[in-house]
Formats: sequence, C-alpha cells, structure tokens
Amino acid sequence: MALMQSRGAAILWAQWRTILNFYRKPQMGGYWVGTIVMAIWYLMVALGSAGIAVLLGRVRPSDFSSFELVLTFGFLAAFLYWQVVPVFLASTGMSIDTRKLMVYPVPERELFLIEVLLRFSTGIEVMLLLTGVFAGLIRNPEIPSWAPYTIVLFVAFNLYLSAGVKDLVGRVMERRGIREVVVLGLVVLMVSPQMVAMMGLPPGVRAALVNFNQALFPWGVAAGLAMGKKLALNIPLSLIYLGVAIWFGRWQFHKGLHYDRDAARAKSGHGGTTSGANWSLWLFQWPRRLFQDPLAALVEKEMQSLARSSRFRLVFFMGFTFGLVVWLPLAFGRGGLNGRGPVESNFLTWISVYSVMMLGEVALFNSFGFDRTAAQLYWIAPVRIRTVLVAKNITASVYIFLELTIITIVCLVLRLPISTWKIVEAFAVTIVLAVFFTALGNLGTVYYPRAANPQNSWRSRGGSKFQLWMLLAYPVLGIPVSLAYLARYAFETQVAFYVVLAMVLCLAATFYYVAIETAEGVAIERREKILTALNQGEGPIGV
Amino acid sequence: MAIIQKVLAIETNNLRKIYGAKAAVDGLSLAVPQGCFYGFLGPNGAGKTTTIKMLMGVAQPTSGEISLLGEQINPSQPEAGLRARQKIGLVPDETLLFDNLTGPEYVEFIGRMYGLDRRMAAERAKELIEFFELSSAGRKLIAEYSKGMRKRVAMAAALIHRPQLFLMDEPFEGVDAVGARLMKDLLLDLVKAGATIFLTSHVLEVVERLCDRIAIIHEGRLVAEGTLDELRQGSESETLEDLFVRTVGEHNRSASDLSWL
Repeated sequence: MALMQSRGAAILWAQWRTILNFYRKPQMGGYWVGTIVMAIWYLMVALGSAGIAVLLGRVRPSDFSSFELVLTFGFLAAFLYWQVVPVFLASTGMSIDTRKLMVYPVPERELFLIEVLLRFSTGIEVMLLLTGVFAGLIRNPEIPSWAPYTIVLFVAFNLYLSAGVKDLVGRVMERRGIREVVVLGLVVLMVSPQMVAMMGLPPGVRAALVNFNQALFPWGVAAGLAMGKKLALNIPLSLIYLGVAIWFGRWQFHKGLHYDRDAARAKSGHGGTTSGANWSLWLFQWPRRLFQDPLAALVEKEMQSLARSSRFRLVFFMGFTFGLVVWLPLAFGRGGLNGRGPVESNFLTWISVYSVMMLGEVALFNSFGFDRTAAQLYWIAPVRIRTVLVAKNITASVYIFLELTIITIVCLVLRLPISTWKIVEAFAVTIVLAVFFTALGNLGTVYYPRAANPQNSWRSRGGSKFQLWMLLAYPVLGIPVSLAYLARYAFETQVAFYVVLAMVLCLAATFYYVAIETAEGVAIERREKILTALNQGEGPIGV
Repeated sequence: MAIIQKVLAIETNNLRKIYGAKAAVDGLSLAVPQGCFYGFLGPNGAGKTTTIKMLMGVAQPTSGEISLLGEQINPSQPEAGLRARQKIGLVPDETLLFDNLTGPEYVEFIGRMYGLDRRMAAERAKELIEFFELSSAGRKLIAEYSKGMRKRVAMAAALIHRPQLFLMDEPFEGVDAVGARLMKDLLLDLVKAGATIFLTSHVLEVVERLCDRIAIIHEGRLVAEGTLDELRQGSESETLEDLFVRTVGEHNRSASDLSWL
C-alpha cells in the first residue's frame, strides 16, 4: 500500500513537472513568463470560481427551476471539457502517458487508478469551478446541507469516463484519415461554446435544447442531486452512471495499455502498395512536365511530403470545413442568406483568405521547420536556396489554388448566394494576398525557423516572437488590397477595383522578388543558426 | 566471466509474433544464462526489436513462452511479471522516454517507479546524471536532447535500482566514442558483478569485444547461437562481420553492377 502511494505520488509529481516544463519552454516565453502566465490563468479561474460561489449562495427558491437548468448546462460544459481536454493534452505531450509505465513493475490496477488521478490534474480548471459550485450550494440555506457533497459522484464519474475516452480517442486517432476527422470534430466541439456565446442559438435550436429533458442524463442527474431533488431517482441513476464509467474506463484503459500499434498497422495494410499509390504517383509527377530539374524534383518532393504530413492534411481539410463552420453562422446567422453586411457580401473572399492564413502556418511561414530532416541537404546539395524556396512557394500555390477551388465548390453545393463575379473576386484577392504572404513567409522561414513535427496533427505553437510579427504584418499587408475596395466604393465600378488590384499585384510581385533575394542572402549568412534552430525540440535532424 | 548456471536469466520457448500475414518472430527459443553478456544480432527487420519488446512486456507474443529470472511472463500471472520487472533494467527505444521532463527528473522518476524512496532516488539520480556527463544539460528537457544524450539518460535510469538483468535496445546508437567507452566499461563491470546483459546492436565490433554469447536472428528465426569461437567453426581469423554476413546470407553485388559508377 505504501509502495503504491509512493509510486502514485511519483507519477503525479512527474505530471506536475511535465505541465510546469511545458509552460516554461522557451517557445512559451521562458521560465518566468511561463510561470506568470500559468499563475494568472489559474488566478482568473479561481476568481471565476469565487464568483460562482457568491452567486449560487444567493439563489432563492423562486428561481430554483431556472437555476436547475443553468446548473445542468454548467455540468454539461464541465463534462464536455473533462472528456475533450485530456485528449488535446495527451497530443501536446502535456500529459504523462501511462502506457510507457507498463514496462516498470507497476500493477495494471494501480496504473488505472493513477490514470484516473491524472485526469484530475488535466481538469484543474473544472475542479476549481466545481469547487465554487460546491461552496455556493453549501452557503445556500435553501439547499439541504448534504446535497452539494454529491458533486463528488459527478467528479468521480467524469474522471473514470475520461480515462476511457482518452484511450479510445487516442487509438481511433492512430488510424490515418480518421485522425483528421476526429481532430476537426474536437476542435468544433471546443469552439462551439464560444460561437454560441457570440451569436446565440437559432430560436428553434434553443427551444429544442431547453425543452429537451436532460434530467436523466449524467449532468442533469448531478444537478438535481446537488440541489437535493428527486432522490429516489437521482441516487440510483448516479450510482449506475458511476458504475458504467468505472467499467468503461477500465475496459478502454486495459485495451489501450495492451494496444499493439505495429499489429494494428499490419492489419490496416500500412506500408503496402495500394491502387491509390499509382494514382497519387501520377498526380505528384506533373512538375516534371512543366519544370526543369532541380526545380521539378524539388516541387515533386514538396508535393508528396506535404500531402503525407498529418498536420498539413488536417489544416488543408480544416480550410474548407472549419472555416465554413466558423464563418458561415457569423456571416449569415442573424440576417439569413440575404444579409448585406461586409462579411455576408464578401463571404467567399473572407473564407478563402482565412484558409490561406491557416495553410500559411504549415506551407509558407516556416517551410524549413516542417521539412527539417531534409533541410541540411539544401545547404549541401548544389542547389540555390532561392530554387528551394521557389519550389516550396510553387507547391504552396498549387495547394492554395486547390483549397480555393474546393471552398468554392462547397459554397456552391451549399447554395450560398455567390455570383460568378464574387468567385472571380475571391480568387483575385486571395491570390494577391497569397503573394504577399508567400514573400513574408520566405522571410519568416529564414529569420524565425522553428522545429516542427509534420506528423503531429495538433501541435501548432509557433515562436511567440514570430507570431507577434505576423499579427502586425497581416493588417499592414491587407492595406494595399483594401485600396482596391476603396476604389470600387469611390468610383462605383468593378473596373476601378481590378485596376487597383492589378497594381497591388505588381507591388506584391516586387515585394516577393525583393523578399526572396533577401531570404536567400539571409539563409546563406544564417545557415548555422537556422540548422541549430531546426535541431531544437522534437528530436535531432538528419536522422 | 562468471556465468551462473542455476536459473536462466532469459528463457524463451518457441516464441512467435505475427503481424498480419508476416511472422516478425517465428519460433524463437533462447536460453540466456545469468551473468552473461549476450549479444542479439540480426539484419534490419529481422525481429530483434520485436523480440526485445516482447521481453520488456510492451508487445504480447502470439504464442510461446517467456521466462525472466525464473519468473514466467504471462498475462494470467501478472504478479510473476511484476516480480521479474522489479529486477530488470531497461534501455528501451527512445519513444518510451518522457520528453517533457528534464534528465534528472526522469531518472529520479524511474527510480521511484522501482520503489526507491524519494530522497534516495533523487540522490542516485544526481550521481548517475553526473556519471553520464549530463549535468551540463541543466534544465534542458529530454525532448531537446541529442540521440546520444537520450541513450545516456535511458542508461542512467536503467541503473538506478541496481537490477540483475538489463534489456538494451541499441544502447550505443548515436553515442559518441567517449560516452560509448564509458558505457561499455560500466556494462563489463556489471557483468563481472553478476548482472546479465541482453543487448541488440548493429555495431558488430562492440558485440565482438563485449559479448560472451551471441545469437543471430534472421527473418524471425534463430539462425546461429553460441560463443564467438563456437560460431566461427574453427576459422579463428573470421571476424564477427564475416560470420554475420555468412550467416544471414552474403550479398553477391559489387560496384561493377552499376556500370555508370
């Protein structure tokens, strides 16, 4: 028993160090910045918790029915947070992977308990907020004094279930293709509260949600029990939920612990030749028909390596799905499809530029970082760095064009009010902006190179300095394009718009020319620093 | 070298591991005596890593038996497996390290996994980190370590609980000459003191110099096993490289096949 406690304490200590080290990474601003950011974050959550405690302490019986509904939705939010966040933390490396501990003399049941306790540490924010709920209910004289203690059952239910969900999602996400869809679903789930808060819910959905009887769901049961209501139903139900969560958690944890990746890969036929392989080979060989080597060889290699990178695939996929999910309700949520606001009338342009900005992170702004095992070669092989950058830019352009085409098709399929001229405009504006972004990206690639793992779907933290730079650069680069819109507004003709846009394109081309010349010089001058930067983080390069 | 004959350190009987339609390990039977420095060789994809994964308990054999230090490794007898693991030191492949811990934190953590109390684990971790010349890495995370440093920190963690048996997957990979010498001398001292070392390596010179017994696996099957002298079959001048190439199948290609070269 003492040994188990000591090992459990060691694992929790390691988890704590892992979180602390994660926040203290240089990319996160260093030791002190990381510590301060973490302290401010938890202080804010603690203040929120105190606020909840004060509010709940003052609720009167006349408000109890609406209060129970609020509590139900609050517990639903806690439930979703607790089930989703551990998956993200595991993929960012912020959570100890208990599977790695199975080679040590730790019994499986002990590992499972530790895994459950680790879920506690990955939901500290929820725990703080639930503490606030508990304190508020305890302070409320209208609620039976024993009732708030039943929140413990809801916490235990979430911890056990979360242990199982994390393992299940982790295994599902190892399957190619499914991984991108799952991450997209999780991202949408994560941003949905924010979207609901910003735009509200359509009246029909809202009514359906309010009228939908949630009393029998775990969060509804927990809310009722915490207020001391319907004990004959809520107590057995909460115990049943807890039992199911324990069973599910243990079952999935056991499966996850003994999951054999190599066997699963062999079963799903990874590494074998498929009929798609010949098709993709043909697809990736088009550059040799248009360009001379080494440019053609470089473009072919870039096309293939980007298409095989999980992170690129995810971002590309999100460009025409997540972008639509986020911007569609914002544009048309209130006013319907006939809205005349700036976002509604330029929706396609808006979403196209947004998707290019998303693609920029993986294809433009740090193009050596996603290709670091090959990066050394560029300084060794008899190829100009300029040619390498041009090859990367051509590849990015092809994917950007493909993305724009898909977005347009999706918008047309959804029957959004988009005219032919709007399609032309969206392509024209996005291409001009893409030239600016590409030029900027080449400078970013040589000035702020960062090691990245192209196979990791989720990790996307860039250098803080570079992100600050980008934050300033985006509005500045948008100014020339906005001049075209200004010209159309002033002269009330499309001709003025396209004349100015053509001039902006010339400006963008000049900027691109100057930037690539500069980038080549800087790449030669800073080659040692660039390679050192690419060597940091996720393992050595050149392996 | 003093080879203790009583209980075998590692015993596998007709061990098999099937991936899809392919047998990664096919009927492997090994008997590694205690106090032995045992080299486990094979070309790429021969089944070395799969074997060591099964020994470590990371992969479940499709069939066959494994016994470590007299304890049967079997899912139906988890207690025996735990007793065996308590006496084993692992230098696993790099994926089993905890990237977001520093070297000292990781070594101390592993010590505590083996039941050392916190103070002792911290003290030993500090000494091991100094011994393997990792102190200069300071607060660097393992994620930022070079390949050689990762191997050294894994080796440090493997030693912290004074195990009787070491399972090592390519322990010298990426380690510089000085670091490799340090590790080799240490391992030889451990064997002299009675420990058993089972290692896989592609560096045949190292295996030739260190190992008492050698096994060669090819396409999942054991194709040779014995002391170096036994394997040489009387040909004293034969190096381990010659022997290895002869055993796993000599290539019959030369530069002249590439006429343009």
